[in-house]
Amino acid sequence: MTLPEKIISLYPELTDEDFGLRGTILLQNDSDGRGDYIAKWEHPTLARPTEEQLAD
Amino acid sequence: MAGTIIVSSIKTDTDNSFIVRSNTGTTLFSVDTTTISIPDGSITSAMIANGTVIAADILDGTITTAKIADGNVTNAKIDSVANTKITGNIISSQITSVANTQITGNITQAQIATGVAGTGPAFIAYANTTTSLTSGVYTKITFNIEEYDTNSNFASSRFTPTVAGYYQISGGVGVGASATSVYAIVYKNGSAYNGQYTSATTLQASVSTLVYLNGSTDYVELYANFGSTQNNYVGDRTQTYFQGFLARSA
Repeated sequence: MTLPEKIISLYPELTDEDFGLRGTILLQNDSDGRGDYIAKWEHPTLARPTEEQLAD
Repeated sequence: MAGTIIVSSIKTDTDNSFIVRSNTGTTLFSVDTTTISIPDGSITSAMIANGTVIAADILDGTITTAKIADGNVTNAKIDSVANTKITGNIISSQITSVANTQITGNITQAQIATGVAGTGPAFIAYANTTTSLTSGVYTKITFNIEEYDTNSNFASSRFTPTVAGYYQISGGVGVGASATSVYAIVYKNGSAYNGQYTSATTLQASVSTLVYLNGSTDYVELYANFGSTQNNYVGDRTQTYFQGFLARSA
């Protein structure tokens, strides 16, 4: 399951508009070996998922 | 020497002076208690031995320009010439070189020869291997081929120029198959700076922007985001590329 899929499974109410440069959630991968990560989480009501929630 | 010198007017001790005249009556010289006076023009140049008159013997301002024959002052005798003394024009053949520090004005476009361009940093890189990314995740594109990197400023898929100025940066990302959307974004210092979003089913998105980079710490990278299940970007020079050049120095 990818990072976006994990977040959607945690918060099914999120839509495409919540993600991206103009949204409140930005997922990023700097191709430095660290993998996909949450670069920005500014959602007004939903809490940022914990590492445990996102763990495989 | 023919002729007779007539000594006349030898005065008494109380006067202490006398005048010597030629037999024609011309005064040759006179003597008083302190000086010997010689009439103007009586001593000709033939009477002065070479080297007898030294510079220290000539009073300031005594020799006028009219007394200097044409061509007698050599270059070696000229230490400097004030601007105010130059009344004509200096032509190009009289100029051997001009130091950069002596140029205070601007060089205009008309003074630059045809075909002369700047030598600021420029680079072209592209990906030659197809790589997967996670749809919905803004992912830095990896460019493993440097076609040009004129100033060695491109490394690890990042352009960090060492010359400050305004850079024209462009990039493209090709998708392996039709995607519902493709977003190509130029990142500056780790944050999105300018992007191009293509929402229709497409195979490629490209972005072009002008960005100021400070010549030391500022850098740019290319990121992409695919809005579909298609998650491969194409390793192809014609589709997935990143390039830029200095458009104007700071």
